[in-house]
Amino acid sequence: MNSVAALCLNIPDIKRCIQTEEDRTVTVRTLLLLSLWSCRSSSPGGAFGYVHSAADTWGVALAVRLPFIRSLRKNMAGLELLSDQGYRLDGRKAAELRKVQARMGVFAQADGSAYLEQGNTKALAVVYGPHEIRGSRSRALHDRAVINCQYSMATFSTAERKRRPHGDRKSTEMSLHLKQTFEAAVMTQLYPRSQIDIYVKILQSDGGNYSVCVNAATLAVIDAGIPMRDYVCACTVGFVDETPLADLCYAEESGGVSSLALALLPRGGQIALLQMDARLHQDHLEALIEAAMTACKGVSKVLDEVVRQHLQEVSSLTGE
Amino acid sequence: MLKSKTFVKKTRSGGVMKIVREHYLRDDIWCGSEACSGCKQESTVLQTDACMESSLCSYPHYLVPDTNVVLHQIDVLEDPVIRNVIILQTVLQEVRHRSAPVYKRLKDVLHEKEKHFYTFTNEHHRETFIDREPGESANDRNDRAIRVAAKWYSQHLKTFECDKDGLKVVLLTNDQGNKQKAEESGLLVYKCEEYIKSLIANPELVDRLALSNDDKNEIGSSKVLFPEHLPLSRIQAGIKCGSFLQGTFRASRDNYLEATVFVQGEGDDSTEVLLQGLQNLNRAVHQDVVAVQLLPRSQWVAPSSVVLQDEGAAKDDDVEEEEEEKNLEQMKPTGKVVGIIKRNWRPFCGMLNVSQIKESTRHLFTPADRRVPRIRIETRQASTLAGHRIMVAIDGWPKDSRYPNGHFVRSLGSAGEKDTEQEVLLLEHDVPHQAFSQAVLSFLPKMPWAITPEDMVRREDLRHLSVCSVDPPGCTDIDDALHCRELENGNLEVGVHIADVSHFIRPSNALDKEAASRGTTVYLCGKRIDMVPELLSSNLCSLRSNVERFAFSCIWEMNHKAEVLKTRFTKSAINSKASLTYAEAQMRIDDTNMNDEITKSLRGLNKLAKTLKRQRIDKGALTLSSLEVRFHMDSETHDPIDLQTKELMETNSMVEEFMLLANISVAQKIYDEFSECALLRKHPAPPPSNYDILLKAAKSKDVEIHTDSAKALADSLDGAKVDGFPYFNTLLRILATRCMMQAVYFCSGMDSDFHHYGLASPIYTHFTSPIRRYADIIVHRLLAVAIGADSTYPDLMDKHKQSALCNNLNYRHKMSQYAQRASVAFHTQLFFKSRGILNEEGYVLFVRKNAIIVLIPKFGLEGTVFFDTKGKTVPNLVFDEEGPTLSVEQHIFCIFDKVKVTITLDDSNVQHQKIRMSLIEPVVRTQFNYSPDAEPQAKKLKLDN
Repeated sequence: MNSVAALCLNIPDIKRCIQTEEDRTVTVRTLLLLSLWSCRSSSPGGAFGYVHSAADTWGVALAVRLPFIRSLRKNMAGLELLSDQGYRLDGRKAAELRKVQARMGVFAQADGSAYLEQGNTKALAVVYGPHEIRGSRSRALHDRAVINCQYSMATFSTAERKRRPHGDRKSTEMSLHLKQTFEAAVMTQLYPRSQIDIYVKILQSDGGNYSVCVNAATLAVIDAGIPMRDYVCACTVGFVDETPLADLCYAEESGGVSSLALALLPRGGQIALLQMDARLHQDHLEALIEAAMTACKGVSKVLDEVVRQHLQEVSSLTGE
Repeated sequence: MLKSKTFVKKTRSGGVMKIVREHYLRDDIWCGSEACSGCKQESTVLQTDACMESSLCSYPHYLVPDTNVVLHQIDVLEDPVIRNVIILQTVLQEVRHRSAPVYKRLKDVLHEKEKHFYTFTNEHHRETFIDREPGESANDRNDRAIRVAAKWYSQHLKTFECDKDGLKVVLLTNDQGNKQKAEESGLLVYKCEEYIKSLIANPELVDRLALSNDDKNEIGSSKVLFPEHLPLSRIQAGIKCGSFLQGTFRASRDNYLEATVFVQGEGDDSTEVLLQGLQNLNRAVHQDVVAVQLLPRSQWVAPSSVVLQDEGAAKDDDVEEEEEEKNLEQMKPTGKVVGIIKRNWRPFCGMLNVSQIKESTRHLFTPADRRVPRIRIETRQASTLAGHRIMVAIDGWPKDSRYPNGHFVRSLGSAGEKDTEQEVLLLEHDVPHQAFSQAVLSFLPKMPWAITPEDMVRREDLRHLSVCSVDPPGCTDIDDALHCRELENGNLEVGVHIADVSHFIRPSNALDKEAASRGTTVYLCGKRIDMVPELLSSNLCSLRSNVERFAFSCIWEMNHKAEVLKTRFTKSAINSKASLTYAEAQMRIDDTNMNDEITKSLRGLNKLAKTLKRQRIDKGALTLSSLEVRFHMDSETHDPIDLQTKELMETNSMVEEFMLLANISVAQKIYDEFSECALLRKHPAPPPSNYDILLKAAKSKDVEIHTDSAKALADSLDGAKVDGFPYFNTLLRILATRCMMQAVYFCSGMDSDFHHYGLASPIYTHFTSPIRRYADIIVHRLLAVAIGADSTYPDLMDKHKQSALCNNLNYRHKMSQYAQRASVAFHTQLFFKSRGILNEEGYVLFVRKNAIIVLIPKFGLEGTVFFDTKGKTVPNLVFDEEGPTLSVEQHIFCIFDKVKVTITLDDSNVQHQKIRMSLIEPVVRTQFNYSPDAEPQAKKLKLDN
């Protein structure tokens, strides 16, 4: 599984790409859908929401091989994650998302910004660009824009205050994942030799940090007016008692659930990123991805509403 | 969907941490009542005509018990009479927190359709959720939540009930304060006792009521007998700093004043702490998890070899504090119980000792398991229950009571009857023995069953081979068959064909789950408790002769030196040509006139088996011995009429050799394929100290035994002979068997030591009896995946789940062995009852401080001969640890002495009928005589002079 050749658009293809262990359990490390050479020919789309046809060539690459993290199967906190009546710890049902609230355009000086809450996880995303390459010119690409992502967590984001220096392994990895997600979604070929900066900060962390960041950043990119193929919506799902749980909170994530993160371009059903660090039997994978896709579509509806409302507010202000 | 947030503070391991969790409140949680027209529920649990005839509540009603009622009165709630109960989520969570066994039972009840128990998720319901008020304790808050939910229910039912027949909600609580507050808010509320007593139809339910705490001062004298248990927080602190040790409490079977606590240390080092005396045992019951405090080294003692039973009620203080020889090597750490970490109480089987006072409702109950103390219960049916086997659950053990308090659960039937005794035996050994449920049976194949062409796609057709099976007589679950034929190249092809049970039992269905929980088939005398339904065990899976059956075949190519050249596994279809018994097979081999295919194949197998056995023994496999007896049963009454020790023939070992070979081959294959999750079986080497008794015994006859390795042990056992004592070697092997460890199943990913000590094999598993062992089914599935004949499923690849399964299998296996032994013991008693008094020769197997244990080879029977008797002059006993020898007056007994004893059945105690033995030869200076009229309490040895 080191080639870049496989075409990866739907679940059977993904399953083909995923490495199967000798005992038929799978560990998806990170699977990314990249727009490497793909969209050179495509025409400039609208402001946002442009969707490519499936005929476009998409490259897939197993970009990062993370150290193999063995999931802690033992439910450490001893919590019953899913009751017999089908309710989770916080009272949601298995497929229900947490409450999503968002605002766009929270900062005036940045080109685009958004604030998003998903339950108790809160994130702030800011976008600068597209602008000319800062720093060394050699990083510039002649046919598309460079996307630069930076992920950080506020010192006050968890129950115990903790200094979080920049550049630790976890946030570097997260930055990389964000970068790869947005390289797949943003139409970078429209801005050759330029750079787009996306900064995301977790203000409060309660599970699903990656997905919340992606969702917030999507809104910020839209706010900045940078064309994208579609919203990128992300969601984590976990697997408990043969049931997929959507949008895990921290208690569930730390409760020894095998969780999977998925970023989706919902209209085409294309997967921008798929990540799972736990072991899972192959038979369960499809159900889990399916649940993740449904959850992502749910998120996209909310985001769409936020964008439309924001547009209305802005247009009424400008008097159009 | 409304949503709100609640903030919970939680302390964890010392530090205080603020934990914030979301808490969603919903308005789509329905009330679950059939009568309700307001809720949009799809299915209802609670009935409209919820009638439990009660003199307190004449109207239909639903019960809402609070947490304490559920915790203490689960026996009552489990009764089929109690229906239409609302279990609130608050209650469920509290129960889960406080008692895992009760929680599990409650869950079982909730799943039972006929019980109409409904779980109401009140904590997430918009109208029943409440916030904790400032200054309110968590318990008070939960009580209030229960009241609010009950209130909501009564109003909800009033508003939405379709045909106004006055459905009401009754809150059950034992808490006075709670009851008062509930009454103030206009709820119908009763104490649990009040309500149960008011039930008209079922007065016997009252007996099942657990005694609640406020009644306890009535029972027992006011004097405090036991030290107080420490609170859990102090125990935890103590364990952390090392002043207390945590372990499982194991009462001694022989001495009610003695127990050991097994403390699991880090890694392999674990210690046993000895506890002596009622004060130090401090109300711990067998199998409880307790915290113990070690006593100073000066008080360490060796375990007493005295056999002591709790016979009298009052004399408990004269503990034998005899002069202990301060043999430092024998010293064991002693300690005392300071607190109970977890009670492991289950309902106990036993019998009632009816109180002397006629009108008394309090009686003592004696459990069948001698390790469990007697229990005081309250019942009005004592006269009907006397002479019956009953079940009793413990409710508590106050510190001023000599015995724990309990309540009656159910009656099993009158004692001494075979069916009752069998039931007791099965219950006491936790053997699941109910009939298979409909859900389980629904997964059986439909009859008539035949092999279809689709079945044959992945199977090899071996129906043409002359396969035969060799089993004990009367065996209907035949799971193995064999064949052997000569190949063209002069080599031999040997096939072991095992019933393909995994074809019929598919993973994770009800049938599979049931089989996994039963773990093994249990064979009792004259009865078999099947692991899988009979259709499979005795028909479709059983490899009977002249029918086509599916098999999982292991086929080797061997040369004439019995070296394996090739191994192949395949799913197959076979048609066995003959089902033989061991004796029949032996006759065919020996009869030179017979030369048919089957006989030839048997001869080939027999020859190879002998070579295989020699090779195995050369490698250091042990041949041990234990006496197994077989009863000849009367075909009509099923009473034993004769008893003989099992005989072993050549063909027994022939089948065994090939089964061992198949198991080893399969073990290797599945381990190669699945290094993380192969299910294997290991037999650890015993620690050297286990051999002490064997070494001492052998030394007394000037025989040297080497125990450095299995090979050395096997060789020295072979060499151990004493002139004029032919039985010596067998006795020695019996002793050696007692030194061994238990073989256990384990998952290869969780362990690193795979060695099988007894068989001298580096790897081993069980593959050959899938009809009667669940482990074999798992091994079949693994092997099927390994050869591409089947697909995996998630649980098979999960080593944690598999290791949990292994634990269950090991437990079931152990229990089934105990049950088997108990069943043999019971039938032996029946046998001797019909026989009267017998005089037999026997050998001394062990020497104890006040008794010798005698083995009678003819019956494979072991019994104890006591020398001290309560209330009688004790002969002069001198016990020598070194020998070990026991001198009674002038005569010295040591291991292997030949003695002559009288065997009688002592039925003075109906519950523990015993085989009594008394010495006839050698005559110890004072003559012992058996007197049948001796008072029941006295041990039957009596001094004549």
